[in-house]
Amino acid sequence: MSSHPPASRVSRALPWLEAAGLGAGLLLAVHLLSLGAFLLPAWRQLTGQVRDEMSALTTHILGFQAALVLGVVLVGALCGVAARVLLLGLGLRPSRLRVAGLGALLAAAQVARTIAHRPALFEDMLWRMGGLRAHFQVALVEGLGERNLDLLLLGLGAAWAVAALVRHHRLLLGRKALFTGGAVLLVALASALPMRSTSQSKGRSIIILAADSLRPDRFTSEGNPRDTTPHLDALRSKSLWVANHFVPIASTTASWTSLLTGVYPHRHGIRDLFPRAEVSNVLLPTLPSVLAAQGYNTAVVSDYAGEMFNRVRYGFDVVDAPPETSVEVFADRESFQRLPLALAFFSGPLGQRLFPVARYLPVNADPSVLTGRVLAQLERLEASDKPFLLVAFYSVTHAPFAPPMPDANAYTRPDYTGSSRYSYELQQLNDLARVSDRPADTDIEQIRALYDGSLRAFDREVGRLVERLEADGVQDRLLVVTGDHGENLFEPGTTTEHGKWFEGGDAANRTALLLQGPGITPGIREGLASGVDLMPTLLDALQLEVPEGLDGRSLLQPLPEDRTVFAETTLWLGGPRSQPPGALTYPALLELLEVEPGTHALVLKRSWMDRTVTAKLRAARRGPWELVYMPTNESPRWRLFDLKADPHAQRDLSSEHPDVTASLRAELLRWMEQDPLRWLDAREHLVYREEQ
Amino acid sequence: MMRARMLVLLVLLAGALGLAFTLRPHAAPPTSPRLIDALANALEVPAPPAEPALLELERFPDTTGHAALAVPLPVEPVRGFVLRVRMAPTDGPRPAITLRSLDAAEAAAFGGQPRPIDGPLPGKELGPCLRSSRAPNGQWMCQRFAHLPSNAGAGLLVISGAANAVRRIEVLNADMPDWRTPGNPILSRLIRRAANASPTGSSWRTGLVARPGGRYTFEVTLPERAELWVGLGHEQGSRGAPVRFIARQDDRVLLDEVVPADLKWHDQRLRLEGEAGQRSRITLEAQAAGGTGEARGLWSTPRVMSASSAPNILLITVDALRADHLGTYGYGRNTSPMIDHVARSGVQFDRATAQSCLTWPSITSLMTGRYPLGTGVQERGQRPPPDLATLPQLLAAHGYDTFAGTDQALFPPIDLSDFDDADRINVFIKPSPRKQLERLAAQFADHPTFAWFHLENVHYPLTPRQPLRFDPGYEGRFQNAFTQEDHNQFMSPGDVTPREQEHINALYDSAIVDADQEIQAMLATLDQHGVLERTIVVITADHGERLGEHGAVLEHVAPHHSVLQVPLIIAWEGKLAVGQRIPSRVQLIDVFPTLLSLAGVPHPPGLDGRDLSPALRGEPLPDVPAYADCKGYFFARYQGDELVIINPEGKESVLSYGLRTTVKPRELYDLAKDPSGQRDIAGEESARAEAASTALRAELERWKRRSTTAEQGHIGQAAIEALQQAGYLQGTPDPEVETARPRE
Repeated sequence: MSSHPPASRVSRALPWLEAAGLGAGLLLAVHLLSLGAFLLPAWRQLTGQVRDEMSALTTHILGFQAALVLGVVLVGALCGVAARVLLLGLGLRPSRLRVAGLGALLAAAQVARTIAHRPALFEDMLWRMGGLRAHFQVALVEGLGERNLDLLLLGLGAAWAVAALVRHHRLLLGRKALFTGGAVLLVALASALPMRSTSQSKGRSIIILAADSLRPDRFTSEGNPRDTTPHLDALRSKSLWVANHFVPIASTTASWTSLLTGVYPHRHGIRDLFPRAEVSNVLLPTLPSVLAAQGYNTAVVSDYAGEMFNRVRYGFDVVDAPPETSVEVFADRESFQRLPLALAFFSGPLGQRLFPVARYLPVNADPSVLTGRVLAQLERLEASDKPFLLVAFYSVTHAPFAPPMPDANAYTRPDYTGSSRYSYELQQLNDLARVSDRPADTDIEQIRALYDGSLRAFDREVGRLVERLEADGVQDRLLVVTGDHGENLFEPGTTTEHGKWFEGGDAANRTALLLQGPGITPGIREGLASGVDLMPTLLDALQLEVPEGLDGRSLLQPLPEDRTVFAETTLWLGGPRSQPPGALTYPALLELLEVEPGTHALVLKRSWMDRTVTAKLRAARRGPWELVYMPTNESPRWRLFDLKADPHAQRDLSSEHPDVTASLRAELLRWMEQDPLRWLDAREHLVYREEQ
Repeated sequence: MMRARMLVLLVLLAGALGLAFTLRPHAAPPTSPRLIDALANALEVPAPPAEPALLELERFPDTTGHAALAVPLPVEPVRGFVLRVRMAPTDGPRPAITLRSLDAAEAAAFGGQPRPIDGPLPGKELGPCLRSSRAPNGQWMCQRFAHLPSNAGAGLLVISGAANAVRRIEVLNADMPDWRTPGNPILSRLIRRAANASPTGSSWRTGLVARPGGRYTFEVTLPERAELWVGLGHEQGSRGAPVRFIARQDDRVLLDEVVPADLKWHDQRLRLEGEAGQRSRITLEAQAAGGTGEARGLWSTPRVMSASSAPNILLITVDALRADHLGTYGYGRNTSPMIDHVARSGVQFDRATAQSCLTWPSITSLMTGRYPLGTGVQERGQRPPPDLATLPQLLAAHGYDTFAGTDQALFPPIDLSDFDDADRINVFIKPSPRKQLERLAAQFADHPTFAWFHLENVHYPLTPRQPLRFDPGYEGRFQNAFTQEDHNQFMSPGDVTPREQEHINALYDSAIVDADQEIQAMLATLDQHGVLERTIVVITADHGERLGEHGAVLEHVAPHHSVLQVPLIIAWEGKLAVGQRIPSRVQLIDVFPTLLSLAGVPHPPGLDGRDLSPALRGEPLPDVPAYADCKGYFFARYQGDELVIINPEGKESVLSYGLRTTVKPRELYDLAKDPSGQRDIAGEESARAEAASTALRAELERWKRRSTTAEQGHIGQAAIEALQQAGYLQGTPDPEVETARPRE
């Protein structure tokens, strides 16, 4: 009877299935244990009200957990199968114990690699727990290091390959094996060959490389003793450097909208990080929409800080950024960032495709992954014959300043013992709103070093991209490097927030602007520039018509020395305790924000719009002068600073220079009056009988 | 082995489902049929009109030694404007700023320049400059939205006392913006409210500006048998050039009409082609059409409507109608034959109570399903927050056409912006509600409509058609009416004799008959059009009235039983139980979720009212406590037949004409023994009173701790942590919820 063929097929597959099952089971067990150890305590701590709100998301949470389990099981199965292959290769009998053990080792190796490459991901679980775990992380990340770990694994792999060849030489020298081996070798060689990059697109394209919280004064060429920006400095020597670029609001979403529309925030309506649906469709002419009308392809590529490109529609053809945040995304993050296997396996570029939530972890902003996507987009755009606008927005320089190794400890001290070893731990700074509680000097130094490391990581990617751009031989192209705003790094009177005040100088609102291209003379432009100038400048550089009525002007044209530019602050989220003394207060974010029906986005409640806009601090800058306005319940506070002589804005000169104060004050008041939401006058409504 | 295989398969399946679930795209948010609500997602909108100020003055003549400064204002009659006067800080008392209207001759005589003035002032006084506020730069300012009467030639602003302090006077076009899109500086200037004449009265509507050269393009998903409804007209009071209105669906022209500035709405219903679910582009374009003057057209309430079988809703609220004066609630006089008939053919709630003693807060609570503290409207003149879902809003989002017929003196038109059409009615002069309902009845057959009529017959001043109906042969004061002057003069029971009070009560009852006849005419209209069986009829009141009780002749500013008890009758031919009487206590705010259920619309979360539709189908309804909030300082609680009223801050309400009302710190009534709530037994039954008042205070605390829209989208701990990790929130946020909510 024909009982052999099925039996032998099944019996051959069985041990492989068993190996897969062993690996899967083992990893599943570890995953479930970690769920119990890390996640359940966090969930149990939730108060009753929070549990109610989570219950609305129960189906979603369960779905996500199930997906994670599937992912872990599949990886486990892969480890099991690979373990069996390794054992068979060495000629050892693949017993269950050996398969399980080796499978576990393989999984552990990947975990170790992730810890060594992106230590910030595991900092909460290891370094910040202190004791043995902290020592383990330091030993792995800094003692052994990712390079050495990879070399070790490579070495072991090579050793295994040799041993397997020796052991199975007869089998491997058979025809089938030779053919498959040869084919594999050919494919590997072909993909390793560098591709010749060419560009099909005609016309003058624009490439904007941007980084969140980019501080120009931390560049090496601006006086930083550390070698943070070798590539940017090389680029600078061929570019126009705008020294005093002051954005109108130091908050990503609002600032980008001003950068791309050329108007101040009160004209486009996005005043903070939480735009409602009604302002998210930008109805003014934007850089991408104006260029699209001229036949350009447009694309923006970003990581977590750029998720707002999916929420606010500027008219880009392609938006390659994490999907918009919502309560569901936040719930997913809660669990994902606490599960070590999830972090180890799914935080890389492949894993991010399966679990997009991995793109939202601020400690997972590996810029080289983003560069991969930028290069892919560049390929695509250059394959078309239309000119293009490509915006690449990097988040690595944004708090918590968590670059991957080796930049994470490029400038930090090995003997640092605080909690911000690989990334800036913000929660340690409780009540820091009272800026008097400055953290220890060692912490400040460490945080600045982490920032510099992030800057270096960004610079590295700029180098890669510039190299790629130079390789395709296109000369007629505009390259811009900029930021959406700067960052405070413990200047006197500040902490590390941007957009909350104008203390400590202009570090929060000042960012880099570097322009390179045909028709742009390299050099330094000292005159004051504003974020609203970017769009007219770029359109001017492309010799296109600038739309009427923009607040900004082209920086390529001569501008008056005494031009005035303006800025405003963004929302304070921490409640009255976190607001400057004397300011108009409003409650903390729990009362201020809500989940928008339909989009599930975090938005500002309409009932608080007037109050929060009225409470904004405003600033007017002219030359070296900065006039800061703060509304209070009585008369407002006006302060004048000379940022050239007093870069940290510590001396109020309003009484010594009354003429400057008066003229800047008049200008600032005129600018504020154009703000339709400002509660200078109560909004109209009929409260009296209308007699006809 | 089989079990292991099954287990593996199960895990894989669950995981795959989970993965698919998390990777699925978000469902697109539902779009409202009202195109104005979809404006933020429009494909194209015109640039908002930039209107220069009508007047800007910064230089003024010296007025030392003179009584006042007079400034002529060159504004057209009827057209709304905003007046702003900014003054320097003054140590003395603030100057009095008043607005006057001059006819053509007076305006010519006065001239066009501001000058000091003494002696009698020309023209007619319109009113003071209201809403003064302190500006952050130390100046103070007053502001007023106004319009001149139709026979005026110009306005005149008179500043008396310290007129030298005036720094700046501005007169701007009043945009009459829609208060619900404040955040978008472009969109908010494209939406205006205006009143124009409809076939049956004057109708307030929200519209999109239609200036020559402006075009709106929307992409909509067509419902079944879609129609585009829009009213063409011009901005408030505009007498400018005509506008050519062109509406298109994809490339097909639906409408191409020139409409002059004739102060009328020209309503259009345009059939749209296409299958249900198909995407289509609707374009609204305005072009010039000759003529002189500015062309300021409006597309009023453009909406994509569909024939549907959802029921119509006719909500009739009779102002100040007490339940116990209706025949069906046991009154001796035959005041309400029609209402009795409706009760016999529907469901009557025997113990329904209102949540406020004033009209505007009670109606706002009714339209939102929340207690007054939760809506932010406890007093007249307050406005609920823009994100609070209202009944017309929710119904409109589900394809209903919404209409409000009210007396606009009580309901400022800007607050009725949730209704597609807000007509002014006046039950004493034509047109009457019946005429307006006639206009709507035609569409009741196939387009679900929510029509709300607020009848004023029973609210003072009492001017019934037959004053002696229930008191024939009476002669004396108030024989034919109890006028507004009477009401302001004779307020306390001591001001009138018991016989006169009896007659006033008879006037009240006769006024009920008038309201009843009005309702009869309305229902007859619906019956004639054959749409009564597709209409849910709700008859209720916003509050009752005190008739010579508790220290008032005819007034309702305290939460006594006679003020809080309201009728509540719901009838739906063929669908609800007939002649059913429900004794359980219900609240007026329960009408909100009930109507939504009957219409098949989901409820928003966090409501205070409960859904009564199970009771309408015959299921038992448990008795729950009912609450009322009168002006924010008198509170009441019903539990079974026990009513407790408290006045925790010991306040007294003083009305403009002098009526003083107060409530004792604690009052208790046993409505089983004393059905009209006259005898306060708090003194005798102090233990019961204490227990009841404690329960009431606990409920008030609960209201204060909640934020209005907390349930509508609490952001959650996960969001807070995410913001902290990204550095946007330093430290822990303030946990206490601020008790002071922003109110205008």
